[in-house]
Amino acid sequence: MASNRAVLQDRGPQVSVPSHFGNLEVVRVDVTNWEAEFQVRAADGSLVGPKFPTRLSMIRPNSEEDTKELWKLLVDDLFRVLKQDGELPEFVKDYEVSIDEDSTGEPALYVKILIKPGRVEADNATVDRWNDFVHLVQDRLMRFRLARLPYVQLGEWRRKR
Amino acid sequence: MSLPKDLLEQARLLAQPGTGRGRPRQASLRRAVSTAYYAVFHLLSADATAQASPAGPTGLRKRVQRSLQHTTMKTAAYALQSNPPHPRILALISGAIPTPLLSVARGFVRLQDERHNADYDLADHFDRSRVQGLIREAERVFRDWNTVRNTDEARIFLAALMFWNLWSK
Repeated sequence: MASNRAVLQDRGPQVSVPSHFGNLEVVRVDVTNWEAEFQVRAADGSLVGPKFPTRLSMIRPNSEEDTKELWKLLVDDLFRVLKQDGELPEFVKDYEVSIDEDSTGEPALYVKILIKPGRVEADNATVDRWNDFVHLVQDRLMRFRLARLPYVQLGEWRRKR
Repeated sequence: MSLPKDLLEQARLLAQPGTGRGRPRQASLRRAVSTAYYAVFHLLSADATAQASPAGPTGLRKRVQRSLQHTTMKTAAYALQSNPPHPRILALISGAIPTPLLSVARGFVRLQDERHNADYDLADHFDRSRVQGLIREAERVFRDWNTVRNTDEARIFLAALMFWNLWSK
């Protein structure tokens, strides 16, 4: 999206939506339709004006739309769909989402799948199932053709104290 | 045993519980990830070099192998496993990319990024399950590469690993 920031830089927070003042905020992500919706949050905290749908592939790194909240909602919706389709294995306890640069300096989206570790080292069949799910999530994220390169990692789930 | 297989075995040993009780140490887990990546790196770079360079004169092939760049290799692997694959790949591969080759490319990308985290990102925590997953990924790359390495698509992949940044010319 084009930004009006340069024109209106002295007039408070700007968003890429013309004629609105306030902070652009993601209100919904729909992985089924590969899009996210944004709305303006006014100074009084209310969401105002129309919702603006944007293709997931059109969200550029470091733009106003590129927030951690957006990526969290995207992964939330992806896991919702996986669960709905019976593709969420029982060993997945939680997940973490972060954005960063990858090893080559490209903007990246990281999803860490948290599994409950056993008392003893897992056997190969179990580890293969973990990896199969990593690949499944990776493939789904790749389909969205995100400007951030998606990476999926494994990690052990620990009970929060 | 070859260097790549030796490295893979070394990665397994590093990830095992120590000789005493308790979990493997962070240093061992991080070295295991790095070693698993280098096992895959040397597996592919040896074949890429053998394809690109004659065996003689002595030392030539090793010199060519040294010219391989991790970043270029990762970019090429990412381009192949993308959906759809990069146009430079599609210009050379007309049919579907064999599944084992996609698996090799995907594993290479994953392992290289995790190796970077393991070697440099001290804020990142490596636990046994994560490392087991990565070593198993490296093992899968070995198996799948063995299946696909003599195909035309694999030869294109090897060339891409070496020359990706020059292919835009």
